[in-house]
Amino acid sequence: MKMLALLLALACAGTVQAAPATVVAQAQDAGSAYKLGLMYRNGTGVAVDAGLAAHWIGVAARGGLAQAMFTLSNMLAAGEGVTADAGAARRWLEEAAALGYPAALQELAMREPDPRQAELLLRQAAHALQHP
Amino acid sequence: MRSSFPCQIGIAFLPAVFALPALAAPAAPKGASATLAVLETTDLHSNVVGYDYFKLAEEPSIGLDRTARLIAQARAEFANTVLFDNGDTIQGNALADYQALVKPLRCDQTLGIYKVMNALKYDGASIGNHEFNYGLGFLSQVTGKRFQVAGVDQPKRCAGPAFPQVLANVYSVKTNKPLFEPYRIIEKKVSAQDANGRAITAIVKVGIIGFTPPTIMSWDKRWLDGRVTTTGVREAALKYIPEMRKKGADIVVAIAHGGLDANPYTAQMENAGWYLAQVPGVDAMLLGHSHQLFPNAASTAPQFNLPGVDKARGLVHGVPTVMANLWGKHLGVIALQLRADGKGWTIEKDKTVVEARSAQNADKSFVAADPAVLALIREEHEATIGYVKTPVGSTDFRMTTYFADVGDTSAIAVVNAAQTQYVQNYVAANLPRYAKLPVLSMSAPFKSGLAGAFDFTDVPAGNLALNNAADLYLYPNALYAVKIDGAGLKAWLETSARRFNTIDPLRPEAQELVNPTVPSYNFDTPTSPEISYEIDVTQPAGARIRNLALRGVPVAPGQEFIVATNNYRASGGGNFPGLDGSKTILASPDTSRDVLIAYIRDVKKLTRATHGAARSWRFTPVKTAGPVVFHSAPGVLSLAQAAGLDNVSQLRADDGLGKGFALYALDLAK
Repeated sequence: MKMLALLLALACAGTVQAAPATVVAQAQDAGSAYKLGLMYRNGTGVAVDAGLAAHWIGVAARGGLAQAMFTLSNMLAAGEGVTADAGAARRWLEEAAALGYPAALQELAMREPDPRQAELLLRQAAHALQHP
Repeated sequence: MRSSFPCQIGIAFLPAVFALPALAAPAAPKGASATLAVLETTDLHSNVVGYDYFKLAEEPSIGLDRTARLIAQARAEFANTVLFDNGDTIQGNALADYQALVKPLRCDQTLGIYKVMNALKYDGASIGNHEFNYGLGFLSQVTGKRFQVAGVDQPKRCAGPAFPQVLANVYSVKTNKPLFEPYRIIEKKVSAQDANGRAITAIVKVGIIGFTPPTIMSWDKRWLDGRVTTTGVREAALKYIPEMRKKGADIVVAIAHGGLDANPYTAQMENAGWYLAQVPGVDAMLLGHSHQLFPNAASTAPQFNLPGVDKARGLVHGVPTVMANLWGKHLGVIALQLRADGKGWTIEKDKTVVEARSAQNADKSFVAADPAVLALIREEHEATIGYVKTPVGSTDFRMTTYFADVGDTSAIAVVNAAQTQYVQNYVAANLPRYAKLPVLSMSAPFKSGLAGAFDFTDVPAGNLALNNAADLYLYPNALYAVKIDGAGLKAWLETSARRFNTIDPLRPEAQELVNPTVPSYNFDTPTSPEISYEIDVTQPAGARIRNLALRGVPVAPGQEFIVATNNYRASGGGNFPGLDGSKTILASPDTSRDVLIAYIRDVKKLTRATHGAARSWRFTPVKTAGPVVFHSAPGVLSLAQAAGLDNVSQLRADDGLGKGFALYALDLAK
């Protein structure tokens, strides 16, 4: 939380081009790493840096954060800040879905050629939405 | 090995083993042996029969009516069985809503799914998080309890299940006592063999203890806050399991509504099974909640690759463990081999076999439904169908997506209108700092012929019922709102406009308008007269949005907007620029479909003029040398005309591609 407060302060100052290494080094838990990754991805208080965004979002994904897995999947599919890798994109999507991330379940459903399987994935997405 | 028992019997004739008082029980002589299969269902979510109440069609891949066959098979295969349900039983489909909310159950009536579970002779159950969704009063009534909690005034005990329900980690604030009995020791009469192999009967004391995710306190805060408290799963197990042993439980079955998670333990941990297995005295675990299949050697789920987890044999820290997926798709089976030591029974651990048996056969067909199940709830089932067909409003125009790609908003405008109103109301009530920002809404044509010429949204003029709302809003989304700037809005619309190919106006040959690699559900558009723009399909993707204006004034890159959308898009679905959760200002608990239904109930009558005519965009006019073509269902040109699209014509009733589509032309010069 302390790290987040510091990052927010830096973001609000609006003058920071890159988060200091000491701050970056503190982004050890998945939630903080993801927020840092999003800051670099969207240029929130720092210069946009797709490579650093992919790095920190990857840290968060490997740390077990489903929404980071989903975003990393998008970035891998698009080659955003990383080499495009459709296979890895699919694996992270499936990992996010296995953790019950609704958007990932829906994405799998929408890509699923078997209508019955797609329907079941959508039902799981509907259920997962009830666990905020 | 799985039995090939033919399953021709109905549940009324299922062989059942009855619990008998201990006084009648012969003590198990030393050296006696018995097999006891512990059976689990979990996360049934009121899927008593395999039926989709929104499609009004059978759904053979789910339903307790098919699991009933697996239960019958197991009972035929094993001499002794006990059947438990893990929870998330009474909520999750239209039948559940009907019995809880639409026509609430009378005190003397038993909930549909409990009627069937009674007939199937369940031996016990635990309580999932979704049991709390309809409030403590309803739960108290349908479980046949009399909760002593604030806000529940139940003068008498109502009809409930005929089996015990156990829950060890939820307490009444009023009494400081557990809401349900925390555990029960079931004295099960079993067929066994004595040391000489002679058939005998004996009693096995099967202790069951139940746990629910402590996170119910936030998920159902409005019902539970100040009325109940929770303890951690591990704490509850450490408190009660020694008591169960002291009272003579031969085996302890932990029924935990949760999965596995190796993060550091907390008393709020949702999926505490990995820690629960390490509590001394747990002989078997029945898990649920995370809707997974365990054991499952092929699983790549990280939770099943944790230290101490044997996903092939179904062991967690050596404790036989099963999770039977969800909706009755599987039956969990833990076959225990017991041996009597003169004082009680012990488990021969090396002989334990754990399986999750599927209701789907190897050839992908499904086991037949047991008709006795539907017979038991036919009245409730048919009443639910009637409820789903009940009109919530009406429309004076046909709402379709046949021409959504070229500007027909008839099936989209009402969704955007509902979303806009919801977010405007929310902002006014809760986010006054954003009160001056314009609220837009985006929605997409969810069905545009992907599966064939029949695969379009098509709701006829007339009454609108709940199942029509499901046609208009196909996906299970929640309503979300994001705050973006003008540059972000333009980027969003540019991403949507990737739906189209780049058209060369000089080419004399026919050119396909739609890029099939961009699905229609990613073609988001507003449908408000306040916002306007053009899509110039002669330009490459990413440079097509022109003349973007709000109320006639060009949108500035830094201008702020609130946009109503859904959780999928706001969380990054479709990878729209800047939408990755970081712009979300509202994550509503209400589903997009429910928002739409509430809106239709409120408006009552949708008219073409108010809900089917407004457009925010048009194609930039350009004269093309050759035709620009697209595909839709044949014979529906009149719908384009009714939507005011005078630039569409049907070239051929059969486009010649063999999928039933017609070929249409779009005149971009008009």
